[in-house]
Amino acid sequence: MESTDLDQKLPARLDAFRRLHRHTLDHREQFWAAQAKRLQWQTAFSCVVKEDFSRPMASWFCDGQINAAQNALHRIIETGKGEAPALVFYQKSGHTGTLTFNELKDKVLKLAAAFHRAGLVPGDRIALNLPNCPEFVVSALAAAYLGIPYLPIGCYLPPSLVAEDVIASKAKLVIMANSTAYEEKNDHILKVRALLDDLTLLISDEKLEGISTLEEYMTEADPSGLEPAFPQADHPLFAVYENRLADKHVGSVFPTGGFLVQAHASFDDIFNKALVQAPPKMIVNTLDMCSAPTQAYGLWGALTNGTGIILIDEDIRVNTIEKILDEQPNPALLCRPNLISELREQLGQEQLNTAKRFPVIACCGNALPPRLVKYADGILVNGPERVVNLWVQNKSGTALLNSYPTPELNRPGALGFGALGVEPLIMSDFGEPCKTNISGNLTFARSWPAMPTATTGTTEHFKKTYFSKFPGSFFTYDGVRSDKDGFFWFMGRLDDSIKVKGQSLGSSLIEGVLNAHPLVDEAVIISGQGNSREEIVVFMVPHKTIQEEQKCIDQIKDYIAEKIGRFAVPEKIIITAQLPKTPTGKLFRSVLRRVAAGEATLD
Amino acid sequence: MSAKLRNKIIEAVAEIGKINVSMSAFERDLTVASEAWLADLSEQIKQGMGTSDARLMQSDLSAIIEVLTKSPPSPDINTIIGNALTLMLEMERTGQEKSPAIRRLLGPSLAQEAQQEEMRLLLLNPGTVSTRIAVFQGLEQVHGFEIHVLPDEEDSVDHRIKAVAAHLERAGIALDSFDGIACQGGFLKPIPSGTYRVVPEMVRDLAEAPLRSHASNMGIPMGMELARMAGSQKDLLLTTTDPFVCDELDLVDRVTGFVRIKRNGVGAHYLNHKAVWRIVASLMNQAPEHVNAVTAHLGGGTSLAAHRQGQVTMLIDAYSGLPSTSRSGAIDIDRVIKAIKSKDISIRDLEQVIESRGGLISLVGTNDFYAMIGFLRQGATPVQRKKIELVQNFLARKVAGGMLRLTADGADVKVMAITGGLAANADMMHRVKQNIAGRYPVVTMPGYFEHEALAAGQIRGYYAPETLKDYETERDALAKKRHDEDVLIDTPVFKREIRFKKKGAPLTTLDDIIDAAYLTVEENYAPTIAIVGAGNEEAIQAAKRANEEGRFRISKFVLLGDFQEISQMAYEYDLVIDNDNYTIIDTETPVEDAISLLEQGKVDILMKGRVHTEDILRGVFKYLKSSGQLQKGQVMSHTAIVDIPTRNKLLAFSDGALNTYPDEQKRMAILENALKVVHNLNIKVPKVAVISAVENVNLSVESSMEAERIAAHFADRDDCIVEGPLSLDVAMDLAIAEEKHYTGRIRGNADVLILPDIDSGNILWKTLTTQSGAALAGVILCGDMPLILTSRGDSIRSKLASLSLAVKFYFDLKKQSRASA
Repeated sequence: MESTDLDQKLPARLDAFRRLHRHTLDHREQFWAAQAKRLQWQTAFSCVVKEDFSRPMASWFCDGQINAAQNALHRIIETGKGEAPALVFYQKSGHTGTLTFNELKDKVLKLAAAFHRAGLVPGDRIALNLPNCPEFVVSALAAAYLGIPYLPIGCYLPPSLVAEDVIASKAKLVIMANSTAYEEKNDHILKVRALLDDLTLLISDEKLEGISTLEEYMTEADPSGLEPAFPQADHPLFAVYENRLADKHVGSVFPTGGFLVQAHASFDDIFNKALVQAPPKMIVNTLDMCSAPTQAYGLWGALTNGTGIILIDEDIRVNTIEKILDEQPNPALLCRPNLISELREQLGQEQLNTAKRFPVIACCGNALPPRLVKYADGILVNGPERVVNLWVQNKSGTALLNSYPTPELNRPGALGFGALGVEPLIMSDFGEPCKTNISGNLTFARSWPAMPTATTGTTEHFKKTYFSKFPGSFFTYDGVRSDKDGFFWFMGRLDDSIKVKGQSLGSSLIEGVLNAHPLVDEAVIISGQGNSREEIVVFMVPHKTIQEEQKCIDQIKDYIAEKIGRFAVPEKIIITAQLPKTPTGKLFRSVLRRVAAGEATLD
Repeated sequence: MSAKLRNKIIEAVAEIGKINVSMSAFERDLTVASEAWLADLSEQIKQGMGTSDARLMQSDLSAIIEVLTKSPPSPDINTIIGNALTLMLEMERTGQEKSPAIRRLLGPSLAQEAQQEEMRLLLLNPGTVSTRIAVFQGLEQVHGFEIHVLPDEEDSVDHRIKAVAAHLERAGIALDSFDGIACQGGFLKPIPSGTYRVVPEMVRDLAEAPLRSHASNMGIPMGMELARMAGSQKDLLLTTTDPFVCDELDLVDRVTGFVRIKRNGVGAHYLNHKAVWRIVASLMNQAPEHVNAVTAHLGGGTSLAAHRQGQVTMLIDAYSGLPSTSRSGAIDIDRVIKAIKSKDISIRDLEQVIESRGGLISLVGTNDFYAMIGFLRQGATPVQRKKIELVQNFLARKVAGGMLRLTADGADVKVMAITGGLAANADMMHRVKQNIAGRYPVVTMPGYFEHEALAAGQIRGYYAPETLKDYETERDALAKKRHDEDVLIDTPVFKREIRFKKKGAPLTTLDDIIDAAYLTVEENYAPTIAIVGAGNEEAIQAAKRANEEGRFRISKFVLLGDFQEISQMAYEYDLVIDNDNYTIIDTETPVEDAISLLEQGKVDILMKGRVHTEDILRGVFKYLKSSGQLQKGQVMSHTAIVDIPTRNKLLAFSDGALNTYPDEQKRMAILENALKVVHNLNIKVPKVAVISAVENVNLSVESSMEAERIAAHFADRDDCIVEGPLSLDVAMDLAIAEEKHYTGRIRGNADVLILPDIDSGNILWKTLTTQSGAALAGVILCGDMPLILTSRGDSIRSKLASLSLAVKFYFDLKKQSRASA
């Protein structure tokens, strides 16, 4: 493993792969520099990384200047792929629209020109309240062409939150889809407009009184002579909000250079370089466009590798899958694990009505359980190893752990290995590294190129949430173990995710706020099942004995309302002298869950 | 090949033999010559000799010692080394040079400096009946006095200070003429050896909770007060050196055979031990740290110390160790307990025996060794002489034994030294040396070096203050170290006691069942248990505890169920999924998958987790039927085994869990199943009581008639005694059986209860477990296959016992089928 040729296939053998992985860690900066150089830079970077996790701070490819859209379009067209499909859209109507790289480029430049004409400059922001549709891709690329960061906002969010997000991001333009994309249909768009005063609002292709469409917006734009922007590598490419706490929008801002480099490299490793067979030409993106990992694998990673994107504008049915397999050249599938179980439910004991199979299925999120891998094998893919897992979080941007579609580098149910150039560590609750098969906390002691920064005003919160449990290390709130072959296995989530008002809230977030209260020694949040919705139940160990419990509980509730918001006020606060823990200091969440549900008592 | 080797060995052995013969002849010559020479020298010493002669002889001696210590040790050579060292010391003591011991303790350069600068120090050594004081100037003691505590006087620090001040005034010695005061340390908190600067914290430790009340505890307070009296402008250096509470024991020597009692190094004459060790090392021309030695202090108390790399790592302390002139030392503890129990002696007596009324005074009637020797020479009858001879041998053997014990760590012990009052008795020393038999060189150094050592400590501290240790730092560091060691010693290894039980003996407790299962697994292999529906914390915990409890793992586990759910539980409960001991099988149909694993022989025993009991039973039933393992008339039934605290054996009953209202035929099958389980507990002929409300057949109680028929059915069996109907009290309580004039063979001693139906069975179950503190293990027999079923209310121990029962049953059954095949 003296020299690592990055353009070659990945080793298929476990030991060779592990040596390669080690090599990329031991020569991390060279590795990432080489990965970066595969892209087109306007100005070369002067140093690979400056990082300091005690602050925490990480900045990749300093002083480099890069245009993301050019790398995704112009660079690919230059390799002769101009007429290859870049974006395919399966519509509800049954109609299929296809854009080649050339066509996509023209559209992007046209929209960029329109942005330019409207006076948008680098440093401005635009918000995309769009579902999985071509407009999203075109808008994101056009924005990136001009160095304008974009903000994807989920379509499932209520109008009030959409408007709040737009205001918080100081976006100058909001692009929305036609009304069918939203739960409240037209009302959604109207309500958002009402809340945003005179901000420019565009909708994709529908007539709605007083709102111009994207078409109209672009009519007079002239792309000729439009100059691309070359932002610095750490200029934001896009931002994602995860939740909203008392006036502060907590989220992640992803840097242009680092994100593009890692998305490109990670996509290439998983879909192209690991596969012995012909790599996929297209990728079916079934993930929600509004999360960070989708930007990596459903947009930037795919396009920069010359792989076309397929979007589906409806609930995914077996017949659409069959149609895509039959019509598209060797498409891979990007999905959440539950898509596989949904397809299984739709199919029952039946087979697909086509002999074609996906070359790779990449599952984002929790590892696909072995029984579903077993099911997918033969029905959706040829060989269980073709189902790979991508361990992603909103904060990770790209996959930091993943398996590869080759027999030795994949195991059903496993999360896979650390991505090349990324070193995951498993720490016990006492901050010591765990041995083989002993489960502990997944942490990262060094940064990765796509690592985001906190949104404005939330740096302290970011530090407290991710860097306080293991000082100097990024903590993921996932419990994992690694087996003797180096595979990582997911063992448990240490942060309950609670859905309130359409947004999911990490329990760690409320815990962090609670622990700062002088009355509280230790607090744990459990999401309980309420009558109609999820309930927040707080277990609290007071700093000293509490005389008046009810008064204390009210105090804590007011505190949370003030610090986070009314919506996060817990339904139940249980005061206890001690939390149930294992000898190794792990919390018995299952016991707490039972207590929260009233099935057991704490004693 | 082997012949060649044999020849080679025979040659080598012969060669060694030859060498040995010549070597021993040579050694004999050497011994004879050196003995004569040493005797001659010692004669010369007695007559006094010139300084230059002495120098010459000394260098001769040390050259000889140096060569001999390097040659391979033999008893003869060791004896010569010991005698030569003893002689060297004697020569120095009688020589013209002043304070040879202090010189040796300080080393030549420091000794010279101190002698030239002439520092003055006062030495305070409070004893039980007197305060010994000394004044040193340079290296020399210029004044010494013993101030007795008058019997009619109150003994206190104040009185003693006044007495000392008065004496100094009388002697014309001004307090402010001193540069420092060296105090005897007393029973401070444990610290490593060395010289310490006296700090107020010491007084607090001595006053608040001294480790032992002792006159020497007054040394430091006296020193501080006298320093105060000397005036503040005279900033006196106060030191204490190697107090009784030094503690440098190594961890091994801290352990005793009873985990709650731990040793430490406190309670020995460190001042003297350390001094003697340093002096001997200096005589041998070596750095003390390089001389591993054993030193024995034989005085009013006896203590022995092993010096390794400069630390006393092993110790026989002055209280619980060897007998001395007035202390008994350690006595066999079971004899002591017997004596206490029989009221021969009281704890108070024992305290006295250990402190002041044991040893020589108890055996002979005096605590003055020389009085005994004197009486031996004059006045003793032949029998008394014999007795004294016996006591002398006893003491000598104890001392030699103790010294040899302190070599048991296998270290390369270079020398042994005996000091103290008894060391002056040549006869006693001869006896000790005979017992040591030349295994090590033995140096005798009569007398005490405590004052020299205290003075040397102070002098070193004065000229090299950096060598002074800080009491609080060292004390706290040692306390921390000892605490950490205590944690290690207290670390539990097994969660419960595991006792050895002979094979084949009836099992009488749940723990016996667990142990027996371990034994069975040890003889065979760890079976694989499938937990059907493992997303259940009870099951996960039982599986985890099963393998943690014992000396080795009792079983491998296959966990069937939802992958993520099981992973999460494994994470929380620290179960290590290693795909060997614990494997997860991801499935939505755990029962079917478990049965298919059973069919493939990949698992041996099933355990119910989070699935419905009916489902798993149905699955197993189908499997048994299809594989032909279920014979006609066999039923599935649950047998519970209870360990009731007030009973001296286990009790089985059936069926409180599975069969609701079995008919007569079924109940007989249930009884057969219960018999199998009980036979498995090594109960050869179990007593089975078929329970009813009454113990007489009563037409209005149907269960009584049924019980009679069942009992009759089993009447001619010789592997069991079945009687019925019996009421529960007759079956369980002998007194009641007698009162009721029950004439059967089961009178309060039933092994098995067969209950009428599930209601009565379950009521008995819950009554026993909730009301009498009974622990319960249970197993379901499906034909001959055990199935583990635990319920949420079961304790971990009872779950483990259920599991063990099944494991043992599984292997015993296997053995039977092998035997019958």
